[in-house]
Amino acid sequence: MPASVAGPSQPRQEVGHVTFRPYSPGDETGITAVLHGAHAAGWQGAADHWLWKHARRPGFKPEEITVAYVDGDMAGCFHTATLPIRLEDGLEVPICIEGDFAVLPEYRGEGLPLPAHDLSSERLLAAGVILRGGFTSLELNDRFYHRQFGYIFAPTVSADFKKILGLGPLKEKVAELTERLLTPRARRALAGERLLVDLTIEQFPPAHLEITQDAIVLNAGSAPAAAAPLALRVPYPLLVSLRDGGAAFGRALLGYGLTGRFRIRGLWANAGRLSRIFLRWAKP
Amino acid sequence: MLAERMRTFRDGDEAALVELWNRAFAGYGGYVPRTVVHWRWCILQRPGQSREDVLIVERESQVLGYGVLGPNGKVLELAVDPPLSKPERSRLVGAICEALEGRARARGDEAIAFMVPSTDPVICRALKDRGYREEAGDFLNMTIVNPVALIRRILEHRRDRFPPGWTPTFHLSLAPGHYRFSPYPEIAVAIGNPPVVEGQAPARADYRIRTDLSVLTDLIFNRVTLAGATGSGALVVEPASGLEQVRTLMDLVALKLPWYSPYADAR
Repeated sequence: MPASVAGPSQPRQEVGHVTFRPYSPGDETGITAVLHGAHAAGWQGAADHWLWKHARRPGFKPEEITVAYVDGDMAGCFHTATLPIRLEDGLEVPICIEGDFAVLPEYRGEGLPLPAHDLSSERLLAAGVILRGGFTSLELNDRFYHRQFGYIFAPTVSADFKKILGLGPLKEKVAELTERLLTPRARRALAGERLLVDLTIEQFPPAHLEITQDAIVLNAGSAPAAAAPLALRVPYPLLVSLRDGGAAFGRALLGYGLTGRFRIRGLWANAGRLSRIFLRWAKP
Repeated sequence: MLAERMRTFRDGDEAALVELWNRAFAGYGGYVPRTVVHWRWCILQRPGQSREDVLIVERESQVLGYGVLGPNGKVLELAVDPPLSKPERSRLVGAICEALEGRARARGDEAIAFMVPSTDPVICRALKDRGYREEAGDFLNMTIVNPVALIRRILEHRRDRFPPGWTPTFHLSLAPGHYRFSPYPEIAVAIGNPPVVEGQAPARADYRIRTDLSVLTDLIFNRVTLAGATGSGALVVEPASGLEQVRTLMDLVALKLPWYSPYADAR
């Protein structure tokens, strides 16, 4: 008789000093605490999100969630959902889609996920499930899931496209760029200077860059007019092209410059400052 | 040409959206087929989700496309009627994107993300033209729990593709490969109507296939060819003269549709 996760009315299944049992109503608080405790960036939702995602899903069964205890304390939780998956026209099979696997940091390294996975495989086989899978990165799959359990990616055409809409992510990108751009030579060129650049990015709220030898910071709002800032008008695709390297950025800059979508103003008012910066930068 | 209009979700739209989704992605595998019950749970009942987040383009009450903005700026679903011409699809995708971006800005989302099929040049071009950039994402990985049931389901589904009069029997001997859980080390396959697939060694078989479950998974999901598996020694056919019969079997069980999984399916 193979090992299995205990049913709601069955005794707990012991694996070493670890105990596994299926979810029962009332576990929500403990489970969401484990999820929050296990994810450094915070789990995506609160109790209502958990209830929607799991207990209120059409077809939900309590045994689709396994709770792990170590010496009587809830240490981990493993969530699955059995759904149909399309393989081709007219062919759908049951797949167990996994997610929200969490082990509290203090219980990591005790091998909880492996017996939890093994026990659930027996349960899934008995329940008529044919495939199991989950959403993960190529790197994590190669490093862990494939080696431990044989997981693969079916030839996928899913492509993830992203676009920044607000200043928050842009501030992070600027902060990331600071280390790359502020080389010792650039810091020397900027010594004692404070360069303000008003940015008008299509569909973004106004912002300005503050450039010193210590940092490049993106701030919301326009720079004070009294500071006579440089002013840049930048199409969003030009920003995106920065990530494709200098040559791609240069081509995009030329193209947008010729069509007038990229513009610089305030060069004359800042000529003295820019000349000083350039001369210090060019100095051997 | 009659004018199209963009509107938000209304009760009763579910069936048309589900029908459009399943039709738009008929050429793909790897997603949860939409039903009204599943869609209501997955989209409408998601915490924080509003009917204003479901944007529909219609012409004369016919739904031509829709998009659903989910939490954190992730577009849970985007579908456009496949029979439309390329310029029409491109225009509609652009209009839905613009509406979704507007909705995301109104909600205070600072980024927006789409998971779309890379094989749809109209959608990809429309996104790139609007300044979107392709990034590494999370995709659906997969392992086989029950290879016997999988092979049986595929062969039953494709029995009209069997060569006429083709009735060989096969004995698969499977080492675990990378699998920790491999419940059927021996599988018997008898081609017939219906095909019989059992999780035990047959009393006798015309052909023996020795391999492991990882290689079989790669063959079924079209990640390796039989020639590649036999050439590397990862799969052996006995007697060797049965290679063509095994090739026919593997062609019949290989799943060839590309997989596409939208954000709505991510757990």
